[in-house]
Amino acid sequence: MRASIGIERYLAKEGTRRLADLGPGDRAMIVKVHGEEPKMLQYLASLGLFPTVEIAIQEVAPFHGPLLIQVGRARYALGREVASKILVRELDD
Amino acid sequence: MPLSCHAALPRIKGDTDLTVALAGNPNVGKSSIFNQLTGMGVVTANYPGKTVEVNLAAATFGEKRIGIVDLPGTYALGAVSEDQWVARQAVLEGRPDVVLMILDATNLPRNLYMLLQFIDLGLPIVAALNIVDQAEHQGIATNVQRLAELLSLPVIPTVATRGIGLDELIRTAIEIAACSACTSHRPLKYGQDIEETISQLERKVATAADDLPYRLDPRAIAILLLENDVEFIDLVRARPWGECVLAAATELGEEIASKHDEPAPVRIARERHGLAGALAAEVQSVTKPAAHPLVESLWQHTTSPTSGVFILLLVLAGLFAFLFYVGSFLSTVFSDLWAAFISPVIGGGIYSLFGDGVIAKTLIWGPDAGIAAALAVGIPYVLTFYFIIAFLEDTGYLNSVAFLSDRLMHNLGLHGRAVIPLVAGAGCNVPAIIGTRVLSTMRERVIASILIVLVPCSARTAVILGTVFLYAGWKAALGIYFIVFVLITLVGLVLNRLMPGQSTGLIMEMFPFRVPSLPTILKKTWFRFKDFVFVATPIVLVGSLVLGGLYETGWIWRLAAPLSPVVEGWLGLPAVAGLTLIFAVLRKELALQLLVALAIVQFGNQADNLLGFMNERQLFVYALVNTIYIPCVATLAVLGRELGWARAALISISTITLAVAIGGVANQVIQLF
Repeated sequence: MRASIGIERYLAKEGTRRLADLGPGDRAMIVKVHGEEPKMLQYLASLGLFPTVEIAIQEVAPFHGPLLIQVGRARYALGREVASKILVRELDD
Repeated sequence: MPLSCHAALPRIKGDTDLTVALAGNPNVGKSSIFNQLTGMGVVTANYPGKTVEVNLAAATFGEKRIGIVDLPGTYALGAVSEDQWVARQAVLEGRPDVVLMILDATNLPRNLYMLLQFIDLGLPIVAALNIVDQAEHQGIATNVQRLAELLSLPVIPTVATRGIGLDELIRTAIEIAACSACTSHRPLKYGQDIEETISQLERKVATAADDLPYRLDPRAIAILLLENDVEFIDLVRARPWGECVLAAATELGEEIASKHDEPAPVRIARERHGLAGALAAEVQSVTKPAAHPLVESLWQHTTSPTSGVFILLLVLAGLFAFLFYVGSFLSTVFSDLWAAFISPVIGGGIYSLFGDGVIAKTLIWGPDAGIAAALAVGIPYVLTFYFIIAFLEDTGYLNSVAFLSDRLMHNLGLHGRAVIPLVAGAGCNVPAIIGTRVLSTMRERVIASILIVLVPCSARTAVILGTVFLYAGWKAALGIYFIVFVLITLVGLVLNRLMPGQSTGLIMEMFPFRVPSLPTILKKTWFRFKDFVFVATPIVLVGSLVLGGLYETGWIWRLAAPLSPVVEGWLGLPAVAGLTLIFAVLRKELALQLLVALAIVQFGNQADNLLGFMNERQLFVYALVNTIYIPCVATLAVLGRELGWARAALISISTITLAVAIGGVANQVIQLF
């Protein structure tokens, strides 16, 4: 439960949203990765997904499915559970 | 059979002059390098309880025998996921003489990250800058010499699919392996304060310790501890000097965290990414936009919800139709050829050796019926399916499939990658179950395999067509598929609830589309097919012999007698029909063939119209039970091998129970109308 309280605190800040709530074409910067699980945090970090990194959302799969994001030259599909733990600030084009 | 890594790694080391580990991110051409370097004698090994495999093979280069260990493709080396753990463990335990790190020139920054981890571990490395041709197409030029200088290790440009650069790569690997002074690459530095922290801990480790885990150097241990590596923390704790070093590591880690406002492992990952990015920026120049327009539009079309779903349905329908039509055509051809040319020879041989008594008749079941069954399934369905899957994999399309279907599969406790094996099950369950290896956890593999077993394969479809469709019409035949579809969904939902653990969150790299390479596809197809031949054939042979013995001695009737309350009473079928269901364990379509044959034996020729001795209701129940109950022996063999025999037995018992329960209910319900 503590983690979700933490997330709410961040979401209360202006402009901060969950990555999972963005749509195709949006660009954003990672503000925080909310990992209750250090393994997940480290795994994402090894892929280069950590705060201050810029990402572009290219597609969202049907039925509320995973997001297709671009980071640098790599593309990743992120499931909802993962994407809702990544907090981002939306960037203007 | 898969070997254990503990046995296989030392053996290949003993048999060869030097060992080389192939490391790299997924999809960087690692397996095509492995395939080009090695011949057919590939052995797969795994660690107990892990599904990720390591491939081992020996190759000869000049005078040298080289053992090649193909590590699973990973993005990093850590204890955070199974594939990473296996890759690291194989290197730490196997101690290769040199690590061949395969880098994707089109995505150098991310690829260098893992190379930096190998440097941190202090291992001897040769880097291959692969896919340089595609990088050039994308306008990415790399100064290879400069990269080698900066990393202070040899970097060889390669195009693995065409074999370019591989000779030089191996020659360099042999040189580096022979030169122990060549591994002192340490010019790369992280940020100053991180380096200071690492040095502090390194000194602490160096003074306190004499027996470092896996004979790594103190710097490697220091970095791993600051990264909070759970495995190394345990290894260090078990040593007498452990607690003292761990206390220092915790304190220094907290210092990093408070200074940089993020946990030490994330900070180190960031520094490593920063260094990798800076290295790549220094040696590469990009002149054109990142991707090819055609590749981009393929991307958009295969992943967008509208066109993507449509393309997916087309591909799945194509896959199904191909397996169904081409597979059953080939299957008939093989069976006919066998019956016309080989069967008489085997029969003649056996009869001339053993006379024409029970022994001879039993023996005929094995080599004749058994091998025919293995052939009729193996080559037409399994080989064809492997070929199609290898093709789809090589193009990169499977990623789009996984992306699109992830959400639906999630409800069944699976993720997107499971959709291909599930659909393939409609052709033949055997390759589909082996195909579940693309799933990352045992939980997913078990769920997917159970669901696959319930998918009516082409043989079961043949029975449905030959009984229900022929005599009771298409609505009834569709009814069976509908019941099975509902059953699969329910079983998936229930398993997802009941089985411990939860479906893993999807984090998957989406690879760009690539022109597939035929040699790679053929080799992949053969490696997988070989497994099927060696696992399934002996079991089908033995199974055939046993059933043959039971039949020819007449024991089968006595064994069938206790079943009659179930078969006649609950399912409402003639006893002889129950018997054919037992035989269908060999091959599901045998149910129909034997039904007709036994019906003729019992009722004379008029029974070849099945309605002569079974009514529409009975045919429906019969086909339904045949579809759901225990898979054929080839499937059982693969289940046992892939998931363990206990699980295979459990799956068999559950499916028999389900089949009898559902068949009986259907029998009662239909009688109401």
